Amino acid sequence: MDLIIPNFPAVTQLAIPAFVTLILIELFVLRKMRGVEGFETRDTTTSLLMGVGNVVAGLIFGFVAYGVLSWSYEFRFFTIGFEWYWVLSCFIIDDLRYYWYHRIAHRCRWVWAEHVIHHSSQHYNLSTALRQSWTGVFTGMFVLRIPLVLLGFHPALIVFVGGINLVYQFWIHTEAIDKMPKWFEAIMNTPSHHRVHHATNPRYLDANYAGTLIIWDRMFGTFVEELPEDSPRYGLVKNIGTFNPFRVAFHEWVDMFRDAARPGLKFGDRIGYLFNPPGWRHDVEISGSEAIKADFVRHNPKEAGRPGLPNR
Amino acid sequence: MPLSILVPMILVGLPLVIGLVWWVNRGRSRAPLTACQAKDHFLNDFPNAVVDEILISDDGKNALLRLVDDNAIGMVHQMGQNHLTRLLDKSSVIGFETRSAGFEFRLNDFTLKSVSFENESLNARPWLSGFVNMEKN
Repeated sequence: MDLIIPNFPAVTQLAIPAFVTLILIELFVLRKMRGVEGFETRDTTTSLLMGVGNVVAGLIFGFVAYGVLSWSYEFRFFTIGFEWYWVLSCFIIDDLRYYWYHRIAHRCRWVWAEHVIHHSSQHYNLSTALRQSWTGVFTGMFVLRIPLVLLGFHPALIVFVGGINLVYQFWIHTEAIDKMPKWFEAIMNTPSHHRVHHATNPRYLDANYAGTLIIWDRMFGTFVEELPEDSPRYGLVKNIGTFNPFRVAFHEWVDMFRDAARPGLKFGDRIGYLFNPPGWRHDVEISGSEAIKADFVRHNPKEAGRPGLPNR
Repeated sequence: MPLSILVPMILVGLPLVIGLVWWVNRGRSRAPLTACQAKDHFLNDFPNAVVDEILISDDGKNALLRLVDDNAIGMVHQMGQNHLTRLLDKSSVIGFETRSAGFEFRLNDFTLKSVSFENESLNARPWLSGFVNMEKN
């Protein structure tokens, strides 16, 4: 029996008016009701232009990823329909896929080179959610969706649920909401959990990779709670010094290839600069976030062993 | 979504948000950096550094920090409403230009090509002159 493929809407594009409206609401809530400097003109402009660039890149290069998924679909083990329970199943499995994509994006510099853009603002507001990469397709991480295709989920459905996941993640990029009800914080990704993810405080590095469901972080040991005594500092461990969208889009690619091409390195070291965690160095034993966490614990021994920090 | 809808949506939405953010922030000026703030910013990012002396630029936008380690100096640079830090050494400073009341660093940094630093008392700081001369050589 041939599947009738529903005409799935482009949810991320449909949500654009809601994105704009919610950004404006957040702007006035922060400024007028709380007196907080939540937004900065140049930073917001850069974030929005990165978002537009992401849409354009998706329109131009998206067919590559979709083509690979469609081709893979020919080799599926089962044929799964579009009933609501399959849509829900696909969403949950794809959210698990997102968790692993996201974790890899923070632990492998090749993927970090595109994902770093999303973390490059020192502000944390709804416009930051739209600060997205232009080079996602080039990392090849769309292959993580192939298992879903081989299970029998149609690529159109996978793209649809992926879009819903991204739309969900929009509202959690805010400081305007403190904590959600306990039951919600236990299951779902929330502004508080995601503030931790965007923070550069040592205890918060490499934590809370979830897309929609925070249960994956709890299951795989990467969950860290936001602590009132350690307010998140947003941005990068080494913050960028530009609002130029092109430099923002490509800075880590440039740095990565510069590092890998440095004279005098062994072949293995060059590979290390491409695929090891961000901040990795060939000439030290501990580097990157592990070194930052170890330094923090050395300066604050009482913090050793607390969530997100090593024992010593 | 058809481009005939998507494009106008973006063309209206973007200027609307940017315009309102500008309007909300209009007339707001950033307080100049203090030595204490500069030290805090720097030590957050480089907790192992030992800061000896701090120079703030006349415009309050930059700070240079003398470190006990003579091979590098610290820098705190205003970036919009925020600041960023750098540890400057031989490999990160690729040149500089002397000016009447300071100089401009040219950096080996894709996102921060140069930083101007003006301070009337600059010439009286031998440690900075030493670093500059070291870089020149």
